This record gives sequence, structure tokens and C-alpha cells, in this order.
Amino acid sequence: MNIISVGFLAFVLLVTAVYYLLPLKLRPCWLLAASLLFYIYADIRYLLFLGASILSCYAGALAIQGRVRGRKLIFLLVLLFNLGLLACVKFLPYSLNVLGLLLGRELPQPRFLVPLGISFYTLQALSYLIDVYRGEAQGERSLWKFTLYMSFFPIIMQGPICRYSQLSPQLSSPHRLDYRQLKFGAQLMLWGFFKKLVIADRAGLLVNQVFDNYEAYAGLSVFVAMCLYTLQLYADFSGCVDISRGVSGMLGISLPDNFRRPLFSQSIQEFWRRWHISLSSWFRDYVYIPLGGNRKGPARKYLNIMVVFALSGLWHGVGINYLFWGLLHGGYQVLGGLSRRPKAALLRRLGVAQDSRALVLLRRLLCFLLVSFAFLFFRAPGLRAGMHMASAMLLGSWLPQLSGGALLNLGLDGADLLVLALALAILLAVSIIQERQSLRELISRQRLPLRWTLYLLCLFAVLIFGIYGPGYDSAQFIYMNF
Amino acid sequence: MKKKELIRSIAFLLLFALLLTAAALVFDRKYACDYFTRVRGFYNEPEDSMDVIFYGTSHMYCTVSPLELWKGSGLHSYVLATQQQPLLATYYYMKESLEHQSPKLIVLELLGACSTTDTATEAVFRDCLDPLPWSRNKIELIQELVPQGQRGSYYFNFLKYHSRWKELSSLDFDFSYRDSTDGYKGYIYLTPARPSQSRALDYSQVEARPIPQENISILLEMKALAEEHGARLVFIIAPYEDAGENAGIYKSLHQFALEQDTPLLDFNLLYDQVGFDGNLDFFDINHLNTSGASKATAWLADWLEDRFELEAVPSQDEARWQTLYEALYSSGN
Repeated sequence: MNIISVGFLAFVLLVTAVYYLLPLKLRPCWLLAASLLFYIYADIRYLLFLGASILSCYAGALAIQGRVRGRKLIFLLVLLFNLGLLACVKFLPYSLNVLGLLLGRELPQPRFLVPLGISFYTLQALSYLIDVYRGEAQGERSLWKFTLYMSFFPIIMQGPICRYSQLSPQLSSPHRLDYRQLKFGAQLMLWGFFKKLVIADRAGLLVNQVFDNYEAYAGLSVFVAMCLYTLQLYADFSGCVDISRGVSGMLGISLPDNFRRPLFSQSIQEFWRRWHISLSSWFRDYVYIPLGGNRKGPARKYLNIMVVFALSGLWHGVGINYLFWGLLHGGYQVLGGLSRRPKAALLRRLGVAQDSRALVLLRRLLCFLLVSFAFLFFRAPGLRAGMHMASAMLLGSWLPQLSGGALLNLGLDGADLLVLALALAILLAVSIIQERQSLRELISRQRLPLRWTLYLLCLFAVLIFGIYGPGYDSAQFIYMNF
Repeated sequence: MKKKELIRSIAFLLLFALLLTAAALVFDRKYACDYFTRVRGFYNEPEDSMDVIFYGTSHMYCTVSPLELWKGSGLHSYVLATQQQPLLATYYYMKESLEHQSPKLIVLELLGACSTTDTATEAVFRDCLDPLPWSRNKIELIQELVPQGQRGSYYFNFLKYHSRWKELSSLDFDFSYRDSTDGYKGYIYLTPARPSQSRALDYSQVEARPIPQENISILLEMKALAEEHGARLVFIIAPYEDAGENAGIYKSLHQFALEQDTPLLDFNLLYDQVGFDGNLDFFDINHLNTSGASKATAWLADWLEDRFELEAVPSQDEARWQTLYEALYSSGN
């Protein structure tokens, strides 16, 4: 069930309504039933994989807890089992393909089922297991509570990846109906739909046109598509997370924010503190710090960063281009670290204050360009295609395309470009406000007519300008030229 | 939740629902190809005022002009047809229209009997479904015609037409179709002539092909429906030189009509008698223009008079028919 679908909305309404109609004691059970139903609806076979992860981590954590001998072995076995499941479904088909290419013959290509959300719930399960192993969390004795933590439907597809101590107590304790939470949850969902349907899916039309036909484009067109892809990805991912958080909020469950205006970052390091926060904090806590973090000298620190981002790249997707993307981000941070002192010295020599507005803007712009450049390889259909696009972008024409109106032939006409520009301007304005305060709180302090006008404007912006439904093209109805 | 909060929430939702309904009406594709005007116009005709109703595809609405038929025979008629209308949709159009009219004659143009529902495109579904006002028949038609998984946007058109925001005009705020009638009574007036060198279909060169089984069932149900309402079912085949494989099915439909004792008027056998001129009477190779429709309608009027003792329903509306006829035909058209 797609999170952007009438079916999902109907499901959320039903789950929420029943949740608050049920006696308090039954509410967590209802959440569990709804989450499992949601997962089974996608494909009942997925339950085998999820079940294996749940049972292995549940039993493993209890076995580790309070045990001295053999706990490391149990921990490693369960860890490897879960990582192995993930690696198998994600990487085995690709690996067999590559091996076949290297050997010069076609190897059998078994068809693998890729369970919904396996990349997310595996990390979630492992965070629990590692926390128990480290003694930072207690093993959960209740299987149903642990199952609910693992299968909670708003987050199973796209996160955020939540820590057990943060999420489970909220899930297993029933919540009373709170009008404010219900309202805020609905507003967050609406904002998520705006980002996803009006911005992301619209930008995607141009991005897909260029990236799927990359050999036909160069110069400014590629640059625009590259930048727009970053905005698309941000709006899409953060939009879907907002919907998940909104749904959870309506049920009285508070999920951590996964995006904190990452495109306002002034450095790649800051970017990863603001982008997909739950993933980057997972890698920080469970890979970077155990590898030694920054405690073993700069050379080891930079190596650790490269390892973390290589793994992050592989987690995001199967293909050398994803690995390259990850390594690029690692490389950015290494270079950023190495150049910090020389840059600071240069600025002092030039008499430029570190917090000057112009410098902040310049840093944000540069950071955006670096992030976008890396995302070019993330989106391109392979590393070779990414390289081709990068060189075509730099060597192709820019000004002639701008004056010749080439940008209007990239899959979006003038009207759509205008809507996209306006929507992005709204996103920017909202983000600026959110840097300082909660927008929902700000709106809630306004008078009723203004609040309702804003809600209705947002609703109708999504309903009218959103990219959804069967799509309309007047040409499909042309039958006879009467 | 406090009472005040509940009331406020309900009030907001009601306001939203009202605005959304209004938006859906604005965004609806109301005036493309005039189907809304023609189909909705039917519902605004006086009840039980039609002697004959014509059903079918574009072949129907290009072939017969009800105003000319009225002028020639006094019979009041209406053409309820949409482009490439699947036969199943025609059945429901028939069922729906017979709740408002009591014609003595039901004329079915047979192009729709040559193809099955699964060959129809979304545009065809939309053209026959969108103009229909809500009724049990429309809901049943959506369920039977539209593949599962695609029905949502037929129940709520806004899901499809919200992307029309780029082409909205003042016409989209014009809801006069709800109360107005169609000045052409469902006929589509086509000019100019496009020389097509159209020739009569030669059935002797054609091998009979089986009528799709689903269509046989529908035709039998149509016959039963007509009889139930005290009307006679008549088949018509419009001039159609480019019939291709359909010609074989037409041949079988002749046999079917004979077996069912249903009169069939096939214009493809009457080119010379009707006097069709391939250079003057066709809009394109498969559709008559206004000149061709005049000839076809005149021939039809005589044919109906010869076979059926039809008396026009006395109407208070004769003056309006006269006015409409003069508006369409007296300005040298």
C-alpha cells in the first residue's frame, strides 16, 4: 500500500478511529494488528523475513542479557544472520550479475523477494540488539511489544529508524485522544503531501526526462536536472517522513524528526547532521564510534569516515554508483577537515567574519552544489552514466540554452515550472520560519479565519497541483477534429 | 476532545467538502465535444416527449439529424450516442433513458456490436460516463465497464481532471448545461465535405465473422428491454467504407437481425438509392457530414414510415422544434 494513496489514507483514518474507540488496554494491540495487516497486505511472504528478524533479535537479546559466557558469539550470530538476510536479498542478484560479467558467462539469476522496508527494519533491529549487548538497553520480554516496535506501519517503509528506548514505551502505552496532537498530526501529513505531490513528483518529471535520456542533454539542462533532483529527493523523502510522523502524531506517538532543513547546511558535516538524521546517527553510534571515531588520530578518523560513507552508499542502493556517491561524501568530509584551518586562516587574512551573511550564503550555496553533484551519481543509471553527465554538464552549453528556452523542453512546461518555483518558494519560506520556531505553533496562535484559510489553501494546492491520479492530457480525448 | 473542538472540526470538514464539490464541478470536462450538453440536454427534454431514440457511436450522431427527421415526418427524436461507445454502455444508456422517455422506436447503430469492451480506451469510457448524471445505472455501468483499480476517478472525477488547472477558462464556470437542452437533439453537425471517394461496402467480398459472444447477450437484453417498455428495436448500420474486419461482423449481424425478427437498415447497401456522393457527403471516410446526414435522415424517415405506423406524440413544443430547425438549416447550412 503506497503511502501516497487513497487506500493508505482510508487505512489511516480507520486505524485512528478504531484506536480511539477501543478501551485503553486494547489500543496497543490494535496498533500491532493494524501494522501486521498493513505488512501482510503488501505481500504475505514478506512476513517470513520480518518474522525471522523479529524472532532472532528478540531471542538473541534475551539470550545475551545477563549472560557472561557466549554472549559475544550469540550477538555475532544474530548480527550476521540479520545482515546476511539483508545482503542476500539486496546484493546477491547484483553480485551474481557482476560475477557473470567478469567470468564472461551467464550465471543463474534466482529471483529474490525484496521485503518491504528490509533496509530500515534491519537497522532498527540491530540498533536494539547492539544496545542490549552494550548494556544500554534492557532486553524486551514481551514478544508482542517487540513485534510492534519492529512492524509499526507508519515507519516500516521509509523510517525514521527509531531506537527501542525511544519508541517502544510510546507504542505499548495507550494514548488518550488529544485534539491538539490530532490536529498537528493532520497538519504535518498535509505538509508532507504538499512536499511530495506538488514539489517532488513535479520536479521528478523534469529529472526523469533528463536522467533517463542523459545522452541527449548537456550543459545547463543537466545542471538544472541535477539541482532539481536534490530538491526532489529532499521533498520526496522528507515529505513521506512527515506523513509518517503525522500519522504517528495522530495516534499520540512522537517520532524524531529525520530532516532539519539540510539544504541550509554550510558544510557536508553539518548536512549529515540535518539529512536523514536517524540513519546518520545510526552509522555514527554503531559503526563510526565503534571503529574509534575521532579518538585515534586524524588519519584513523578520516578512514572511519570513508568506511561509514562507503557502507551508507551500499545501504542506499545496489550498484557502483551508490558506493561512489557514498565515497564522494566521505571524500568531501575528509577534504573539509583537512582544509578547515587553511580556510579559517584565509578568511582571517581577508578580514571576513565567519558569520557574515555573505559568507553564510556562499557556504550554503557551495554545500548545495557539492551535495547535488554527489546526488547526480546517486540518480544516474550507473557510474558511467554519471560520469558522462558530469562531463557533459561542465562542457556543454549554458547561456545559449538559457536564452533559447531549452529549459521549457525538459518535461515541464511554463505553467508547471511556475508552480514548481512557487512551491519551492513556499518551502523556502517555511524552512526559514522553522529554523527559528515551530510553524504549527505559530499558526495555532493565529485567528480562526486565517488558520482555516491557510489549511484550505494548502489542501487545495495539493488537490489541484499535486501530481497524482490517472493524469489528464487533452490529446487523449481528441477523436475527430470537429 | 471537547465539544467545541469537535464542532469546529466538523464545521471545517463540511466547509472543505463543500469547496471540494464546487471545485470538482468546475474542473469537470464539461464542454469538450459537447457530450455534456447533448447527454444532459436529453434529461432536460420534457418527459415522454420522444417518439424515437437513437443510440450508438459517432456513426449514429453523424448520420441522423432529429430536427430534419421531425421536419420530414413529425417524429420527435433524440440521438444519445458518444464516440466509440461500447455496446455495454449503450445498453445502460438505453436503460437510463427509458426511465425518462417512452419512445415507440429504439434505433441502435451497430458499430458498437463489432468490438468488445476490453478494446475501449479510457477516453471512450470517460466520454460515455462523465456526462451521465448520477444514478444506479451509472454506478452499475462504472462497475461493469471500467477495470477494477481504475474506478475511483470515475466516481470522483476530480482525481482525473484536477490537472486541468492549466486549461481552465470562463466556460468551466458555466453550469448552464444543467438546465439547457441541446439545440441539435444530440446530432453533431459536420462540415465541410472532405472528398473521400467513399464507396459502398461490398458484402459479397466479405467473409462473415462471428459477433463477439458478449455482444450477442447484450443485444438480446436490449431487445428484451425495448419490449418491456413497449418499444420496437431497430438496427441501423451507417455508411462505413473503411469497415475492415467489422464488415464481416456486419454480415453476421444481418443474419442475427433476421433471426431476431429485428428490422435492420444498412446504408452500405443503399449508396445509390440514397444518393450518397463520395465527394460531397462525407466528413471523413467513415462519417457523414451535414449533406450526407440530410440524405440519410430523409431516407430513414421514409423507411420508418413504410414499416411502422408511427404517430408523433402530441407536443406543446412544436414551436421550439421549428425555431431550432430554422436556426440550424435556414441560414444556408
